[in-house]
Amino acid sequence: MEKPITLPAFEALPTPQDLAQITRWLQQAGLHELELTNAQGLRLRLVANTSAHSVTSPSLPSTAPTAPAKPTSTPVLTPYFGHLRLQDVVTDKAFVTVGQTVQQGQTVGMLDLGSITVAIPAPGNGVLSSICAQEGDLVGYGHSIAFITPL
Amino acid sequence: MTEPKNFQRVLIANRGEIALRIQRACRQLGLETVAVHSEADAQSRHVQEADIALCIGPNAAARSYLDVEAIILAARLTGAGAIHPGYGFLSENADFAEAVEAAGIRFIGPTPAAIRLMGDKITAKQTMQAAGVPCVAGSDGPLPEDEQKILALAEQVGFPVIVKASGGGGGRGMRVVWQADDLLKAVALTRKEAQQAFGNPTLYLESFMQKPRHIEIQVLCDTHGNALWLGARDCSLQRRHQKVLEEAPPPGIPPELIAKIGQSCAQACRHIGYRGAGTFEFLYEDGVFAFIEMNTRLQVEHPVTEETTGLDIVCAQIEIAQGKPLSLQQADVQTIGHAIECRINAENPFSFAPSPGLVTQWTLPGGAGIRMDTHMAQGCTVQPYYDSLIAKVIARGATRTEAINRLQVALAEMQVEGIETNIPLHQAILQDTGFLEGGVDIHHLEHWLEKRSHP
Repeated sequence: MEKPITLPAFEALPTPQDLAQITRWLQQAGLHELELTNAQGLRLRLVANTSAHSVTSPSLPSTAPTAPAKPTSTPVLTPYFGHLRLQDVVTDKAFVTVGQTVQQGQTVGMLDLGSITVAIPAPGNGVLSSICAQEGDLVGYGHSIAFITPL
Repeated sequence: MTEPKNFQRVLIANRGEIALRIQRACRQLGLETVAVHSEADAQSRHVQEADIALCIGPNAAARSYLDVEAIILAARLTGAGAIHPGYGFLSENADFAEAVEAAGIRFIGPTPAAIRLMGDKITAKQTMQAAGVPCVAGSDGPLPEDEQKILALAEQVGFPVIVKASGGGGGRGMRVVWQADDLLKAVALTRKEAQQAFGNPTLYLESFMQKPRHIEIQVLCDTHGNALWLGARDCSLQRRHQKVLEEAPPPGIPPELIAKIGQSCAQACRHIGYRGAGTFEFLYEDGVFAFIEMNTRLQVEHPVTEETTGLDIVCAQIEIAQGKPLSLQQADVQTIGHAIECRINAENPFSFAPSPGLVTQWTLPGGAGIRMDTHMAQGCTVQPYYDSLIAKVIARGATRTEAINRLQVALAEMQVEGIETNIPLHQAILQDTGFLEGGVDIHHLEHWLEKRSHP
């Protein structure tokens, strides 16, 4: 499988060290892909090779930095598919808002499947840096709906 | 029986070439399509071209293409009124068909009861015998526990015999026994394997035909009591019970013999109230047909029947699910000329090791009488998670010789790079004297592979 599938023009491209770290995290978490979005709507998509061998591409340093660099953000990925609900139907308030601090496991949104709903948990602690999906969107499995910047 | 409600949107619960084949049929009937897919298949052609595409799970088939609950939820969520299961995956899973219909969605295939009946090889055989379809001589029911009774049964049938699992099929769960001394050990072993593989230790026993051909009859039945047989296919070229090359009609078998067996298949369909497309598989040796099993779904090799009858089996399946009566009668079904299909797999043509990866060049053949059923294109990736079928090259000719000639030119023209394919194997088969004469048995390809020289 090809590692980076698309590399669109990106104003502030993460450093190679950051990219290497992100791909390592993807592999460790057993995740398949990562999509970064900026305010201009540009996207950077990283697709990790989740098989046994290393995912770092030859152009990237293969050794880990002594102090792991902080990633710019971590995606919140859907654990199932369904219509996206960003507002709690009971309280009528948004589950989370941009800029808010979230805890690992905290509900960021819900997937509405008609008869059942599935919570979308935050993958880690941090500040919710962006939400990149709309209320009511039909989203598939593994879709990025938001990003969290670790504190 | 209540008229089934018509649907406007069909969910395709499959992937690869067959998903695209089904999507085309839906388009021709003016129906919308929903492509449910795994993460690995997000870029595949039928997903890109679907009216609605939905990723339902990760790459593992168990959590995507085999996930009954997810597929039914996806159908409800996208407003699909029917589900086409294709072949493989959930296509012969009676529980799936039942869950689909319980959810108020049409299953484009037979009733769950018919799938269940044919899924158990003992009840399938008993049903066929009752309907007048010729079967292989055998135990006519489950093997008894009593060892002396088993031995007596086998002696009565005559050695060699084949011991089969009732829950098996498609070449799985069977063992050939050449002499009485080996029988009880083989029964014990097969029983243990059947329990492990199918959760059902029930066995039966049949006379083992030594040099049979694999001949099958395609049927098509509506919900108004019409049952048609659409000619026969010869699928004798197999490796490890997997078909490699198929053709229609079977060379060298008198048409009146095929017509007789075809009529008995159609009669059996009426007898069990069969719905949709299906295939009766037979062993054929010395002018005798013997039923082995029925596949209650669309087959990979359905195009050779389409090419010789001019019918569209997938469109017919969908129209039957819509409750429409078949628009033709048996007398209208004519087979003209000859068609051959080569299954192109992404695999090493000598070791048969799968060869997934990026396809860097993909040049397809064309011209008169050539049909390509494929989902691949240059720049596509052959995924390692699923079966390796990447294309079917189908050639039609007025005669078998013309079809073979067109196929030879087509395979020489086809250029695939980046991955390995079994195209060289097909080219060699098309030069083989036995194949060119026609009518080889089901062991021919295996023997030929043993003898051929390695590079």
